[in-house]
Amino acid sequence: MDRHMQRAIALAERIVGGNSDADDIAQEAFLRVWSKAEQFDPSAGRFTSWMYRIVFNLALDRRRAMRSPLPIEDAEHVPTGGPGQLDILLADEDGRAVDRALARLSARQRAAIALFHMDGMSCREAGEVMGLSESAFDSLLNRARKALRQEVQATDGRLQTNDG
Amino acid sequence: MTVDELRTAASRWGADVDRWPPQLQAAARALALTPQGQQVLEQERRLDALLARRPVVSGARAQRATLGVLNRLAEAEARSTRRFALADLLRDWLVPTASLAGSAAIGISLALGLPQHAPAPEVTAFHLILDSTSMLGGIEIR
Repeated sequence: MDRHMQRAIALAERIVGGNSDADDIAQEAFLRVWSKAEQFDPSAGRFTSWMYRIVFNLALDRRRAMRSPLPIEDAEHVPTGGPGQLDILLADEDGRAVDRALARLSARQRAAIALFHMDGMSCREAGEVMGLSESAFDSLLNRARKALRQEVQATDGRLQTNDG
Repeated sequence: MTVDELRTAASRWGADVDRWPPQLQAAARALALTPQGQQVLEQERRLDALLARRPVVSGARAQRATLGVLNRLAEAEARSTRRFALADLLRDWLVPTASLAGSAAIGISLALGLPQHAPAPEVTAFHLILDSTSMLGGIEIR
């Protein structure tokens, strides 16, 4: 359960920013998983996708309720949980530039990037989580990456990216 | 596939060709062997790595959240148990008692509330005859 909890908190944190909100969202998601367990249909998709969908919807609701942009300072120091090799290979400035750019995207765009890149889901799986068709998710991801690239280049030209 | 097409695809799906649409993969892998192709994918790989970073969620933090869930479930269970206990009390004791008390109250209110009518004189006389007849039931009158 802790492993799923870690992933749920990480996704919520990517979407809403802020640790306490992310913890609340993950807890609420698990309560819903518990209370609505009989609604889970294994033939309709994976348990992880179902759980992520609940997390995504709760995070999106929380984000809408906030009605304010993600604080940049919260996004600037998202520590990396990946292998230490990444920290060595990637400059901190690049990471901060990407975090600032992510903070300026919409919650749905951040979710698309998190599901595809952070969780390694396919477009079909991530689309299931977000309630989108595979092609609709593909378009959303494309727009998100384009917007992110523009934000990175507007705020920090150091990180080299391919122009899409 | 041209280098520009490779760049467009890489900017859309990232540097991992295995995650691209199947129909593009073979051509992309062939182009990835060239220096230009390698450069395109390498630039995108750096961005992918930055986007793949996961916010650190320590095991202790996850355990605290899990404990919070379990506590909330236990509270909900306790509330549900209290509700059932109240329902049992109502069913086993309060409902029969209230029914009995209600019946008694209705009876008393009917007794007190209904008007009492004095019988008419001719009815009274008739009752007297009946009563005296029954009292003299065993006496032969000549």
